[in-house]
Amino acid sequence: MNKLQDQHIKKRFVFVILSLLLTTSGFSQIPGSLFMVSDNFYSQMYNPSYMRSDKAIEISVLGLGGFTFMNQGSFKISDFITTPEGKPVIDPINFYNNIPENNYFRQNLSVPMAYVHVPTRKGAISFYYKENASSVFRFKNEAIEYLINGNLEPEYADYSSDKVNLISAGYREFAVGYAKHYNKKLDVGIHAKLLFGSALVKAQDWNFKVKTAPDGRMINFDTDGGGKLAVPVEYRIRPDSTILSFDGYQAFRKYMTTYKNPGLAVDLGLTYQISDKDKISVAIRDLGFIWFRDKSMTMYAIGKYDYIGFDLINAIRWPEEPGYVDPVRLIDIVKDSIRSVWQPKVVEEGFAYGLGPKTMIHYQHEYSEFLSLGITNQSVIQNNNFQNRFTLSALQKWSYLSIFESISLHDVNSVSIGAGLQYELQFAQLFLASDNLIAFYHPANNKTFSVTAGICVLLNNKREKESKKQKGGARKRNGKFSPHLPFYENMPDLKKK
Amino acid sequence: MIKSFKKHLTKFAWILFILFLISCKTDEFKFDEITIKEDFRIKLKSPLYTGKDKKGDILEFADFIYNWSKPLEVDTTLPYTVLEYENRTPRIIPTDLIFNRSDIIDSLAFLIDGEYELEDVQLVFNVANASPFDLNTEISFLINGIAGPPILPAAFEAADFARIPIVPVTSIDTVLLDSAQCESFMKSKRLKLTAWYNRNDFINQNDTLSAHYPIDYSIVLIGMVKAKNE
Repeated sequence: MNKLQDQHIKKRFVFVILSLLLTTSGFSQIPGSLFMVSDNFYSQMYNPSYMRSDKAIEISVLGLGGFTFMNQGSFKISDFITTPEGKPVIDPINFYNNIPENNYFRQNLSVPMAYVHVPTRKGAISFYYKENASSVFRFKNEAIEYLINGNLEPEYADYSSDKVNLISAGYREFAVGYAKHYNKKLDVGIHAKLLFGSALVKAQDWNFKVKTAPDGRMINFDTDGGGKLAVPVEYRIRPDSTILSFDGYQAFRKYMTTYKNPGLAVDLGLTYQISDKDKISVAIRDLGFIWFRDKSMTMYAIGKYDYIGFDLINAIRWPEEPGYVDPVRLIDIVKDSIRSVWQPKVVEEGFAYGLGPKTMIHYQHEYSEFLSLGITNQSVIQNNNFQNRFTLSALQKWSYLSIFESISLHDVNSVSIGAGLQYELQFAQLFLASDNLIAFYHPANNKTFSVTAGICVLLNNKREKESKKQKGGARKRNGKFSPHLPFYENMPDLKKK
Repeated sequence: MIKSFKKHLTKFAWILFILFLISCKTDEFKFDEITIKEDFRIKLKSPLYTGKDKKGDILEFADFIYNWSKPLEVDTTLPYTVLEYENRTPRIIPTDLIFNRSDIIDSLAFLIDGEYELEDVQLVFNVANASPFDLNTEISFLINGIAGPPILPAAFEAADFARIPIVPVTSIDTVLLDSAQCESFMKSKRLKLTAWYNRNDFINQNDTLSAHYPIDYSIVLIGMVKAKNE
């Protein structure tokens, strides 16, 4: 085997486990502290009732729009890829020894390709186009026991991976939004979204079993499970209904130009001003589905094969013997039979895929003009997967600079300290936020990290001018107002006049 | 001082933020740099070859005598033996043919080469012999048509024809491959199998033998699988 093939193997090994470990389907969340700033264009995408307090128009496009990336797992990447002597090494034993019994790994990437937010007299209208790719992979530690134990010892002769689940999806959303000041206290908003699914892999309750006979003369392979698959590329199917190959030519271009799997969804949001200092906001997002109908299929993992070794009978006997089969053909049959156990059979058919609804609830208290405090809870429910992030945030504002710090609790298994900043120039808004500051230093050594960053152009932003006017003209008052009501408040006759 | 600090607070914040980003340690690596841990092994046991298929068809005494696809010239002046078949005419063969080494498989595709290496390879020969003679087999792995070091398990014991009914005798012999054998095992793409029987008195008492004495012949592979890190 040449070096190129070796590298190919390593890549494949890494991709099978790590891409098994890196997968999609709508677990999109942003650092909770971003909900502290309602004029942030990401928080507006994640809560439709958010809008700017001024009349500035927000515009962002690919390149400026930035991204949000989230990684969350029950283990660290550094558990799997260790770096002894500074070199990255895949270490399955270390991985096995450091993972809990039930494991998950989630990733999400969202990239706004275009964003426009225009204020109106009573609110704001918005439009955005966003690419989403996300995944979640769940498995028990038993799934990798075969790698650790093999099948030689009698106690490891009966292997079962237990249930392995994977949802990985990519889709794009075109959203039209409307946010309105319903009354002095209540803002409401809605996003109506047209979705287009690009790709989906859903493996549900897959169980791989390998049972070895005590004398080693037979191995029973067995698989069961189901799932869905939709791909943006051409593929070929074998006569036994398993997939022979995918055509990877221009796969990315095909992914980005697939519009044959339509879907609909809505996001709803509201913000309620409890008092001058307190407000609460709620959003429910992604109430909808995608109808995958192009290159879409249902998968059935129902393979079973008893492997007893390669055939010697036909290898020894000659073609004149009755029932003779070419032994090389028999070798291929055995290999295909083993392969077909692991490869699911597919039936080409469309299916509807429900997006996982996401909820956000945020409470904010303005402690002073300078400092605000907030509590945010974000959760996602999809099939058996539940993800929750609880965040305590603090926001400090100096003029056009906002700095926020946060402590987040991810599900119940990890805590992280985050931070971020947002800066507004007259013509642009820039921000960067992460819910795990330490992960900037060593992302692989953290179970959870997310980062969101972006820039949007601001048109018609009069803040700067007003501020300058203030500087040059009437000075801002720094004194306190008297707590006593003016004397005429208690004189109704005078008031009428 | 405080006023000055406040005035330049934004600049300070940016400078601190830029310093923070510059100081970040990243986990960058290239895929070619990733290797599997050097001492990582998987203990594996797997069937390799079988002489008994799922339909119940099984290798027989005649199969280990000669590669019957090759023409056989019989010198009638030499001692001969008659091999009896159920569904075909008997074969008359030189008696020595049974006891001489024959390449019953000259070259069979052997396709275990993959993205791994094997260490501490053992081949477990599990043979239930129902023939009247001890059976010897020798395996060689061919590299560019040249046979590698032979792998020779102990003879598989013959059945006891003095007892009725005749019960096959099961012999299990495990051969630990040395480094040269292991290398040819890993690199080879073709297999050669040579077989012969040990002569005993039974041949002197019987000039006609059944071709169908069943011989359940299997080879199981035991080894440590290791990823290739080249």
